[in-house]
Amino acid sequence: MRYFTPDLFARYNSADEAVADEADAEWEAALAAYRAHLDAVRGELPPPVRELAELCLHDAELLGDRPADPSVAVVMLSQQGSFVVLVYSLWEQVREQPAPPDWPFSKQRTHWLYDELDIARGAEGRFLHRVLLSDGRALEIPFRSVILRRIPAPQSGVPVRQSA
Amino acid sequence: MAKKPKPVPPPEVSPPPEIHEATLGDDGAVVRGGLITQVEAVARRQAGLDVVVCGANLTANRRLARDIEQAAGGSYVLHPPHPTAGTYSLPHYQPDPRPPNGHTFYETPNRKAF
Repeated sequence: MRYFTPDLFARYNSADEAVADEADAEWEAALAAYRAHLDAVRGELPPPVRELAELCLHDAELLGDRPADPSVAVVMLSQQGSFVVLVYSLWEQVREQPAPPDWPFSKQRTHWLYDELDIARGAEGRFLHRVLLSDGRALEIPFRSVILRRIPAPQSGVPVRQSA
Repeated sequence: MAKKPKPVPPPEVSPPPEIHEATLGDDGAVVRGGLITQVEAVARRQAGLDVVVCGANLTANRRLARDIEQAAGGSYVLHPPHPTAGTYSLPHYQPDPRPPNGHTFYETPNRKAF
């Protein structure tokens, strides 16, 4: 993460009021810097990547992020009565930064906190999607293209078939 | 003749924060509803609904919002405004982990409820 770092998130949550106040100001600066960054690169983003940059997945529950193939990453999320599926065509493997050792928040029911869209410099058509998860992990997804799909969740769930 | 010392103005004291019912509006806006007590705010949060703490003092707002969320559920996390939730989004406490649903929002010097 370049803007919404795990460290800044943790300081924003500090019980020390002075630390939290300072983090509030830093977060506002990070928001402004990230918006300026997006404005600067928006013209270079193809429509699906632009859509990804504008998509709000905050609080969506992570259902799975296992790579299906070394060149593909699939992220599945549940958000407000629908499933969101992101399929990335990769130019490098997904990098995962582990949670800081003193990460104080729950690691149950991992959900999406903040994400950042970037362009990989020096290579046309290569993008980076960085995601901070609620369990403290940060993912960096190096991708060329992405497909976004939102699927309504069944109202009453799916019956589980009993095995014989 | 010695000059009379100028009276020192008393330090500015901002009024205590207020708690309101809240709903979500467009572009991340938090729309404040009726004024409620802290006890009512805790009950509303336990029902999975939103509340917002309004006032001029960031530290006091955050502290009160935290007290409400803690009383409502115990463990909590504070989420700063997120870039894609809308221009007017507010920081908020929520259970950690979820459920129940809902948020305890609070105002900052830069971000206000409507």
